[in-house]
Amino acid sequence: MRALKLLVVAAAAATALAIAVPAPGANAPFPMNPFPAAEVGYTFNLQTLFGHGSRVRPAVYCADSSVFRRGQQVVFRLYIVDAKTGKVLTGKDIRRVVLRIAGQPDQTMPFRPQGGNPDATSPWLWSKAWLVPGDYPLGTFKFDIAAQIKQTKNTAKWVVYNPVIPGTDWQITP
Amino acid sequence: MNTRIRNKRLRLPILGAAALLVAAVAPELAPAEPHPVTPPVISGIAGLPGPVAAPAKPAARMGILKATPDTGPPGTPFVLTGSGLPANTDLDITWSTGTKQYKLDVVPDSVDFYGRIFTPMAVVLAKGRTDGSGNLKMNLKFPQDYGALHDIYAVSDGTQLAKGGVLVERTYKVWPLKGPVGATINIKLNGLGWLGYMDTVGVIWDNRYVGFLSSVTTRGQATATIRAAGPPGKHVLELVPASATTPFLNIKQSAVGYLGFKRYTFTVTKDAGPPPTKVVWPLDLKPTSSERTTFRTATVEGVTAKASTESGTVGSKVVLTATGLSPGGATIQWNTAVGTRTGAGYAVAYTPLMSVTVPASGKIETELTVPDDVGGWHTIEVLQDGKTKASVAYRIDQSLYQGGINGKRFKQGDLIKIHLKGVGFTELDNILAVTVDNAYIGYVCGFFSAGDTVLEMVATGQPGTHIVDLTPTIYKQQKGGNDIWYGGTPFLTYRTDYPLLALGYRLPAYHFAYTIVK
Repeated sequence: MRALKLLVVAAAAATALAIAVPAPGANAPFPMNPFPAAEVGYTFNLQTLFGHGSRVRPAVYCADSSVFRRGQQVVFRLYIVDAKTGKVLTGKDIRRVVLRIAGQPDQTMPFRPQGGNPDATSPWLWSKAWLVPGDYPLGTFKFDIAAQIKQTKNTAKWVVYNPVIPGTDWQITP
Repeated sequence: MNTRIRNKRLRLPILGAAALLVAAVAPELAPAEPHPVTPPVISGIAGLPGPVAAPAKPAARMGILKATPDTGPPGTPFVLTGSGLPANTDLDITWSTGTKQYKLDVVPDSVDFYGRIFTPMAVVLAKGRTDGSGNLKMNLKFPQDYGALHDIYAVSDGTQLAKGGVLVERTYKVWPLKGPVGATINIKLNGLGWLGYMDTVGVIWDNRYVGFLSSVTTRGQATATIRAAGPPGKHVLELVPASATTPFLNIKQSAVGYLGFKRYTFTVTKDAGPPPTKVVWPLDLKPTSSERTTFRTATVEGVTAKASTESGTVGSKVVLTATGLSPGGATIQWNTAVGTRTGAGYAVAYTPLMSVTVPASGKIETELTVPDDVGGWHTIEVLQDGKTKASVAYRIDQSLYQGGINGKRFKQGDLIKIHLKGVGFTELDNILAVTVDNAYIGYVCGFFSAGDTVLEMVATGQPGTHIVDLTPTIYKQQKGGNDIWYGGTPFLTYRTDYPLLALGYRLPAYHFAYTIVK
């Protein structure tokens, strides 16, 4: 599925609001050429995975997917890069990351080591698991991720990753 | 025969070598670019389920709409509800769908197949209004449309405020479920989707591949027939989602497992002997495109020409009438295509049919015999002094040669011959797929043999009646699509959903039967 290919691709995010990506034709080759692209301040590098909290068992846990059934758990995890300096941001740079799913309460994404067990090799990521409700709308699955980036000790700004790329949407299926 | 390579790809280096020296690429024959073709109008096939909606963007914070029920076949009533919307606000309720077309490249010596093109869009399914508390409640129906998942949005002023979604399930109807060997079995599907894994359904009979149904241009509806095969007793008929025309046998484990499949038991009641040979033509549909292979519109001003019929079979008669010609000699010329796709190449060719003398009136009326040639669209030209004065498009339709089959009773090991005339030369009419007792075995091609097509096979199997079916199909798909269709397998929906219908072609299926005796 075409959307799946997007999951491990750096999710280029605009510093403000949605990505302005031209709608690909029905048979646009993948990977789509992202250039020329709007200049961005930060990139969001996102994966969505099958979580162990799934009530409908997936074929493989922790596997990337863009298609989730009702009753399956979606694990969102990402890291954010300052596009100008190349620095991978950490909890010291970001005050808060919020997952916003259509029709659901906002959920703060903690910054924590992958798998929850810190050791020398575990990367630290912002992550959150969400169980798809049994009556959640079928079809395209809309969400965005907002990060509040510290500028000074007392100021911060919001940047939003909105994965709106026609033809490559995440899907909720029965 | 005078052969001119008219194709920029120079696909006939050997055959056309001599003629190439005098051939220049005529501007009127310059190949077109591959492009989507508007499908013919078919009675009972719905159009878009509403007016095209204006473009809309997602709201910064989107709500959800609830559809109850959210799963069912086309026509299912449902209640759409939402809350947290702006109060007392008019809304467009949009339905995500699209149009799908075949992409073809009509060139002088072929029609090349570039697959299926889907153009997504949203239509306005209904208009609604929220109450004073921002709630929405509407009674709606799943429209007659492509099936599978559809998004529903509540849109106001170009903003998608809330999103819902439904699954339009496919429906199956198969009848009858019992009958003698060779009985016609009708298959009617509705609610097929628009994506590659959703618009094609494979047919399996007793674990044998029969062919596929498609609903590319028929908005989710597909109708076809197969025939009962095998000895009296129970047989299994399965309708399975297909990707590249071949059945996806474990679809339940896929990401589109919700498409499901259907299984029937058919009872062969008796063996009443071989039914008569039958040729089944497509629906008589009005073409949407005037593009023709080998056609050139070089009629000189003041000259008219017409044929008494638009089409005919090999050996049939057609009267050509032309006026406005110069008194004196004229040549009637036949334009066609020759060659092969097996390597050497192919090209347009020109064959004189007869010479005539134009009287002082400038009018000729002459009867021609349709040449024993490849089928499909050709051109009849009137030339004077080596220049084309008039041209008329003419189509050769396929036909049976001497009844088509060389007998009705065979012993095991006998040679069975099935013989057709007028098989075509494009990527969409140069072959027919063959099944024996509902098992796909391959295809026959008529291009290199000038439309003359002979299937030879050895009589095998148990004593009793056996069936052989030849069905139109695509030779192959050119590059240019994610939704690839493999060529060569039986295109069972050829009567309603075939790519060449838009260009005025009429390609039949053939149904033969014979008995093996001891």
